[in-house]
Amino acid sequence: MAELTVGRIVRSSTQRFAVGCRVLQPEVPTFGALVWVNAFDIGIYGLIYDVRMEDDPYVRQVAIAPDAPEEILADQRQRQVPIEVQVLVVGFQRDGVIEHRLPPQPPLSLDVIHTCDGPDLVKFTERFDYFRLVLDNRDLPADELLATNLRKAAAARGDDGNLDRDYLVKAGRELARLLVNDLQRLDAMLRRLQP
Amino acid sequence: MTLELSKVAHQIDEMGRALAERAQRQRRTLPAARELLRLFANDQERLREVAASEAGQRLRCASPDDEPLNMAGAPHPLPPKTTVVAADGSQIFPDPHAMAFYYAINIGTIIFRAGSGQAPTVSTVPRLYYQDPEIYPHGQPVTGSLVGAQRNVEEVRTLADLALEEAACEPRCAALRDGPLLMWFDRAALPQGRAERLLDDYLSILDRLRTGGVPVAGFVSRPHGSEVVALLYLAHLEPEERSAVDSLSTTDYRGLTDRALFGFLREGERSATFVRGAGFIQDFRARGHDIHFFYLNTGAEIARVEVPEWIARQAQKLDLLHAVLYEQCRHNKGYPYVLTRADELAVILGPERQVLDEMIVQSLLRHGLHVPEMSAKAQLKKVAR
Repeated sequence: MAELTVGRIVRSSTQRFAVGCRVLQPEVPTFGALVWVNAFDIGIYGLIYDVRMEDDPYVRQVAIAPDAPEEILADQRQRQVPIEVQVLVVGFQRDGVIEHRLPPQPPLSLDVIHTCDGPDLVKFTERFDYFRLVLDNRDLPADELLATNLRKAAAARGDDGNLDRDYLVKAGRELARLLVNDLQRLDAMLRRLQP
Repeated sequence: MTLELSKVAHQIDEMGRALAERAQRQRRTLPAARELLRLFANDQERLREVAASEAGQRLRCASPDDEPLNMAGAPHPLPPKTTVVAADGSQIFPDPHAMAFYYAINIGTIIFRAGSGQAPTVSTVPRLYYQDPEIYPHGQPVTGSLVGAQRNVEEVRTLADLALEEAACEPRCAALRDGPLLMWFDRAALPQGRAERLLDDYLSILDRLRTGGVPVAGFVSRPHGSEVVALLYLAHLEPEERSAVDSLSTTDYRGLTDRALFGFLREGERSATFVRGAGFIQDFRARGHDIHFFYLNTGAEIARVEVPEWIARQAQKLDLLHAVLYEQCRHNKGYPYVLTRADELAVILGPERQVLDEMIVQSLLRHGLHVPEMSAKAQLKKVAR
């Protein structure tokens, strides 16, 4: 799949960054998608964990108008920019080597974020060391985020979009190791991964 | 300490009393004025003579067209596939105490294709002015008055460019601006010859719109004018009494606005059309752009709508503007939707201004200049406030 541009960074830290984009398209941005951005000599990887459209008094007024014409509704949608996409950093790449840990520096404002699909997604998700970077974020829907990402990774490995069952079993084993002290959480995660 | 409220408390009380007196006076004069509107409803010829008289010009009386003065015209349905183009502008005024002496004009535009179901096309046209002839016209620093006047002309120029382009493809196309069409260029406040040039530019834009046949209107929200009231007042006096009236402010009709007079219009209805009574309209008249107006009940207020005479004389185009304006107001709490959006697009907010200033400083540094500073006055004001 061709690489798509998500938007540009509006805020960043070494752990998370926010991206502004103009319009929602069917393929981008989507929850759980792996994205990357170049920052100096490294490429930083992240998972999209939230896509947000803020409202304002004008949108509220139009929302309750009884017979607002289509043109006004369409205009209000294009008014709500930037749509803000929140990304959790899960690793970086330097000299072709992927590391599942936090990068030394955050990306800069206005850097462009791209989607990371197909072989790049397969390559990043070959190892499972980034699981901890996701699961430790209890203020996020971390389990849902990781499960969605793993299903995308399994789909990238399967034929015709089918999920690669063996890959999900391997990921499930790693989760069992990490969540051995929280069986309820593990159970819920494994259910999310079932093909 | 800024405003010591205790020191204005007495004035506030006086103000409340004066406003209450005005309201009471209006309760008395308004029915009388409306009765005059009914009495003179079909006396257009005589009223035109009153408006053209010395006293009529002194009081800047409106002059009626041929419609009955007390008419209330319902809006026609908006024809399918009508395009509405609107433009509004804002500016950063030149600040001699800022880090760089410049000014900026930003024009916001919207093309709204009613009935298409499509999102409107929105755009902005920002421009910085920093060259010597721009910021030191005639060797003197540019003033806020000149920037404001220039902004008005640029706003209508952008509106005309877009509207003419659209009108070439879509025959039903109307152009709207926020504010009067009858623009006043204050010769006393502008550098020598500049008011004349700006007026000529503006009238040339109206020429182009007339050639293209584009219905154009200026929308004036909450108008304070009393040109029709002044006309009725003068008309009810005997001719010899009229010469003694210097202004409405010495009569019982002081403070009574046309807006109140036409308060009888129901939602969507418009008044008869009149010709503006301002003295400087002669410049417009000489070029065939006499400015006419009507009042419109938008659903939230009585607004004044100004149109050039070549639109006022074409019933079909006037009806189209009436329909467009009401339809635009109906979905936006009584104010045209396209004007709200054009304003939103044009406005330069504080944080954007700050970023712009920072970018200017960075550019100066990149080009090897010292970091400019705000004046001592501006710096200290910032600290003290």
